Amino acid sequence: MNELLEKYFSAATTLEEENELKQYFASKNIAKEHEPYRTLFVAFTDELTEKATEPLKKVVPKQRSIKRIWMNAFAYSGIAATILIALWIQRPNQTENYAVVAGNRIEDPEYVQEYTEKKLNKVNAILHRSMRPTKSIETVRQSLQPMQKIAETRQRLEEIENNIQFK
Amino acid sequence: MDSKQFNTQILTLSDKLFRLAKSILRNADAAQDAVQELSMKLWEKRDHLDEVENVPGFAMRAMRNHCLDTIRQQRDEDELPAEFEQKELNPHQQTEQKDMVARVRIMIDNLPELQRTIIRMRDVEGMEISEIAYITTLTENAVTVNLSRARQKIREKILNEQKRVEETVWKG
Repeated sequence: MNELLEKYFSAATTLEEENELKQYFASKNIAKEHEPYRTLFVAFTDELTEKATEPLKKVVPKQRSIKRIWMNAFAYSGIAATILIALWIQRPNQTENYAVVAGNRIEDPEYVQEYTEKKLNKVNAILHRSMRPTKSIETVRQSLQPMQKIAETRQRLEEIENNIQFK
Repeated sequence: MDSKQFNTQILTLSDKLFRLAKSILRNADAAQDAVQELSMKLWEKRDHLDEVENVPGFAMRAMRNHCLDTIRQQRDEDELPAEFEQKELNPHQQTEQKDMVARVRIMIDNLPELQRTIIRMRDVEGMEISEIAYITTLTENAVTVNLSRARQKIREKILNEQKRVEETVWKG
């Protein structure tokens, strides 16, 4: 051990040998002649346990603070409110969009649409009924077609008959 | 280097950086400030840290340089020199003297900056001579010489102290 200590004070020891010395001086079996050096190695071990009084704070990727998030929320809400107010002020005058139904002013578009559809259906039904006689006339016309053929045939026969007399 | 790598590689060194700064500045509050300042500097230059091979060694070297700059700055401003020989112990230290371990720590603190930095890097932190040479920008041989001188001085002081105590006891 004396040799190792001499080597230590000459800075010729390896880290392993120095650890061996630390272990020796941490034990209770120290030779009396080595006792003065015990405090030296104990001091080194003690110092290693010393921690930073205030540990460094972890670096976190930049995050928006709560305050900034609230400020942004207020700003965006303000912009949205301004746009809505502007649209409200410049909205088309709804009183101009109305229909007059049976002399009454109706502004409900759904009611007007429904009313119009009903009326159109009614017109359609009337037209459908009105077209029925036309169909009957067509049937009669088709029935008379053979009669026309007879008339044409008689006229042809008369023509032939005239031609024969002339000869 | 992103925040995760920075936290892993730099923040885990905070105690080691603190001990180094405290050894050089010999003041815990000043050491804490120095570590915070260095941490901020390194964070600002985190993009360049990717090019550094030995980040812990680089951080320790930067810590030492930062502390030496602080000492120089204090001298320039004619403030109380940060590095002063503690030959006369204050009342607090005198109380501490009862503890022999504390006295040894004061003996180390009274060594020149380079010697106390080297002896602590080796004997407290257990660093290789090559690592200490990188941090102190000295040759390995110069580190060994300074380490040997530091240990010899402490040995001499311890033996003198022992002798003084024995004489006191004998006289008493």
